Amino acid sequence: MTHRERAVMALTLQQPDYVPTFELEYQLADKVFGKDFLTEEQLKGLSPKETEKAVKENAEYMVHVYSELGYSILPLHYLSEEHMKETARYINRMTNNEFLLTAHGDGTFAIPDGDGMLDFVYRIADDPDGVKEEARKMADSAIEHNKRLREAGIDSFILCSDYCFNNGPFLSPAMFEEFIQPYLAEIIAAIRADGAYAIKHTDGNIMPILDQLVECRPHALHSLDPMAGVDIKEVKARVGNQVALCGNVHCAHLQTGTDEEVLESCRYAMENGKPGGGYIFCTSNVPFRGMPVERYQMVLDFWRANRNY
Amino acid sequence: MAILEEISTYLQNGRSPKVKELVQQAIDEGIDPAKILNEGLLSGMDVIGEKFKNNEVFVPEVLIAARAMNAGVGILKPYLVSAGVESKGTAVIGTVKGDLHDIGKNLVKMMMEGKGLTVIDLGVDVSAEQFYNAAMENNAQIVCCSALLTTTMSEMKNVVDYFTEKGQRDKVKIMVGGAPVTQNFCDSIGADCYTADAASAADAALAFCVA
Repeated sequence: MTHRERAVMALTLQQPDYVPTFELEYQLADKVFGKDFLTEEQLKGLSPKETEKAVKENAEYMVHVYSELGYSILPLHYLSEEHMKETARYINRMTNNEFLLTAHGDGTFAIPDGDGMLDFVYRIADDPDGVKEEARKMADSAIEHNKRLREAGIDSFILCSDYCFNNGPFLSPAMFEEFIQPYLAEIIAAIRADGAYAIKHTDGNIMPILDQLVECRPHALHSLDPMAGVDIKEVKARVGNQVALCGNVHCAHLQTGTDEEVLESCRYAMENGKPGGGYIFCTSNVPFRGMPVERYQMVLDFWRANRNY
Repeated sequence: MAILEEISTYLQNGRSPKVKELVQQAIDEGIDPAKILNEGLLSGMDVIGEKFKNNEVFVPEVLIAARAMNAGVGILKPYLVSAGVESKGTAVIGTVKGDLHDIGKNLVKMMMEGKGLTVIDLGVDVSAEQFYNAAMENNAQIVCCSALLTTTMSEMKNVVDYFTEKGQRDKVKIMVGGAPVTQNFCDSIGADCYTADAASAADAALAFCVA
């Protein structure tokens, strides 16, 4: 079974040979493998030939790193759309489509940052039609963007607009229904129509909008943030027959918890996510820069020891 | 009084122009400005705060209600000043050094203002020394430290230690909050109070000020 087949089986609620893993981003490449992944910034000033070489070498490096880690889904980041497309073509050619490639593809309103929050909230109150018009444009743009990436061989999309705080959604469920849900559903429908896969990520406590998220028909929900009290056992019981699950390994424990807390979080996620398929084992955020590398290694070691069906 | 209930209700619905209009009407009718503030505006924010704690309303409703409250307070302020109505207390608030996230901090600020407290907002990336200086300059009873990142929340200990080094630790209550912060963490650094949400933080701050 290829990594791609394994990921697709999990995303389509089937049981592969073993539980696959991946991360939205892997920020420890420098510490573990000697260098970071290429960024668009680094390509500035290079000749076309030098750029082509750098993109190709980065694609090879990505395959090396992610093969070592055992990922089934490869996240493409940090490059312009054109260079992401080139990277995807290189990787697919180099590996004979061994992996499921993924890239950002959301186009819905995330929780605004501090400066933008008041403006956004006041617009919702004072000019709801204007906000919906903007939501429409964002969704249309995301759909077009995803289509172009899909044509280049990127066949899954991580939709990473965050909707929730630790204590619940930013928008009320009624506002979510009005300003987010229809547009998210359209983006996902377009991904599905193109034969690709949609992984909806959001941090925070998703439980009050869980059904609304599932109604948008993503292939998978990502994060299942235990720091916000999301219990993978409960989510699996409620919607595990409709949507695949990714994550739930406690990221804060990886930074500040004990080894026992890390392993217990791994155990709980695997034990409750794995049964019957439809689960991808990963952290509830990303292995972020500054995280002790040995801690993330513990997660991978646990996965290798417990992944088989 | 019916008009104060109306002010409270319109405030809860975030109707700023109507709140302004009713506050002016109440003033014109000769109602005590302190009564308009407490039984109209702050009473409305109390209801919103409780509903927020119970997940009956969400952040946008709180912010829109806070805007309505500020609109009403704007009309009322000159009358409060001339009537000698004082703030219920002063809090200094900021996101700790190294951390640029301010959503939670802004919510706490609005909730505290909704309790009638004066809040000095130091913004983000605030050092222990800045917290200290602002607290001393404004004679604040409360210092509120916010952090979103596990990597920056340790800065909260520096704030607590700084007040201790300066011999002013017993002059202020230091409150901590933010996504990675827990009661255990609060206890471990010697802060006075942790709350899990903005409305509870405002309740706790008011309780410290009126104690």
